[in-house]
Amino acid sequence: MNDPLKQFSILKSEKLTQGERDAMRAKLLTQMDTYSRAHMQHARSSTFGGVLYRYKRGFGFALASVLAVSTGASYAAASALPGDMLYPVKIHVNERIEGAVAINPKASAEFAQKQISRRAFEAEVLAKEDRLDDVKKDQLREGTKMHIDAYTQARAKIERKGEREKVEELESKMRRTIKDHERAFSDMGVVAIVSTSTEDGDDDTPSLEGLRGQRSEFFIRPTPNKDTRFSSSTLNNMNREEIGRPSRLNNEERLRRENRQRENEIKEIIPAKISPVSRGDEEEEEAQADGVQN
Amino acid sequence: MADKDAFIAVYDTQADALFRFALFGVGDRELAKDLVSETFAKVWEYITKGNKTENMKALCYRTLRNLIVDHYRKHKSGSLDGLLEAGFDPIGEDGMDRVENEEDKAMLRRAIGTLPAAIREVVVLRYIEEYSPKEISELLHISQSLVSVRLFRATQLLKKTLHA
Repeated sequence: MNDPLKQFSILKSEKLTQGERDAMRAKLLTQMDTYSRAHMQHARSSTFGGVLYRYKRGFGFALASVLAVSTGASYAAASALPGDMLYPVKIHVNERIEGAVAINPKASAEFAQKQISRRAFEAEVLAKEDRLDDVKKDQLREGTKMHIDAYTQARAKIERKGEREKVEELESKMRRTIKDHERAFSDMGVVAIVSTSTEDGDDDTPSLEGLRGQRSEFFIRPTPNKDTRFSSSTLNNMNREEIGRPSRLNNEERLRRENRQRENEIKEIIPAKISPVSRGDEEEEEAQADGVQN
Repeated sequence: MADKDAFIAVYDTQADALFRFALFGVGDRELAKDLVSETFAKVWEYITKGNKTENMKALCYRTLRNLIVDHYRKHKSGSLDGLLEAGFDPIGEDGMDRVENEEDKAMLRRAIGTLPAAIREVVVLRYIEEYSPKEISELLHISQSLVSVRLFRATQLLKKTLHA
């Protein structure tokens, strides 16, 4: 053989397995959809023409108003709520500009947290004013879902870098957010779960590699009152509570019931979703297996 | 707007080649998969923002190459030298080799592992992916003469290794 290096071509047989290729493909498609959706929203709103386009559909008069006060619209939109004329400006212009400076994973995660908190706050204000109807719930839930995805992705990037302190800091903030807005999340159909670690490490909570009990998990219901992941008994309880009950009466009792439901949901969801076997446990099992073989 | 189907077609045709490039770059199958996955996500993000590229394949390779470099910068303990000391074997014991020339392949993998990173990537593209030096220069954004120099060095180094 003239060139002995040509024999390296046999290494071309090193390939992804079909399963690996399919899994990567599915993951890529999800990432593409998520990014494209976010980018399209940004593109529609990042130019003034895009904003005009949004307004011209059914908001002709509003368009004129926005034009007239265009310089102050962005400022005025800051406190807008779903259903308000300036709310699209708030989420598609103001917040996009704000998010554009989040150029590293930690900044992205923090911005996403802020957005999750904002959507929850908007739900709370609307509920207080008795304006939180199903359309607005859907809108807020979709917005929250997008930011949850962004947060999860940014957190995963930080995890991959092994920056444990940053993850802990983020999760600490997220726990506070979930605690502060648990009612709003419930109204929107977002099930937020905070895992808590135990000192002896004997837990079945989701764990990062080498980082126990620091992960917050979110589950989005297709609609506020439907989620096939919950047991039928939980669903029945939820439906009984929702149907015919004056929503503003006896809030404390309702909150207590929701907390109890959430605890039950956590027990149902976590064992099925997360393997409780940690890295340490695996090593121990391997050692035991070796012992058996020997 | 970026063409999703066209991009997935790029994935379908290039995933294995990029995987090999990453595999021989980092010597770890799982890490190689993560890096390839991240490569495609980053490239999609890039083109969705409206950026144009004349050579999608080259963009993928350069992105992956940068990620491999980033990996070594962030994980100093996992240097290439460390890989060699540990016995570079990107496939591992659960390998998928079920062919008669398995021993030859193992020997070649070890030989590739002895090469410096810059030379190794050129060897992978030239002798495994079978690109011409000109194509390699386009893929890696380096001059064609540099590709030739690296291939020449690779030939010298590998002849020694393979005939040792």
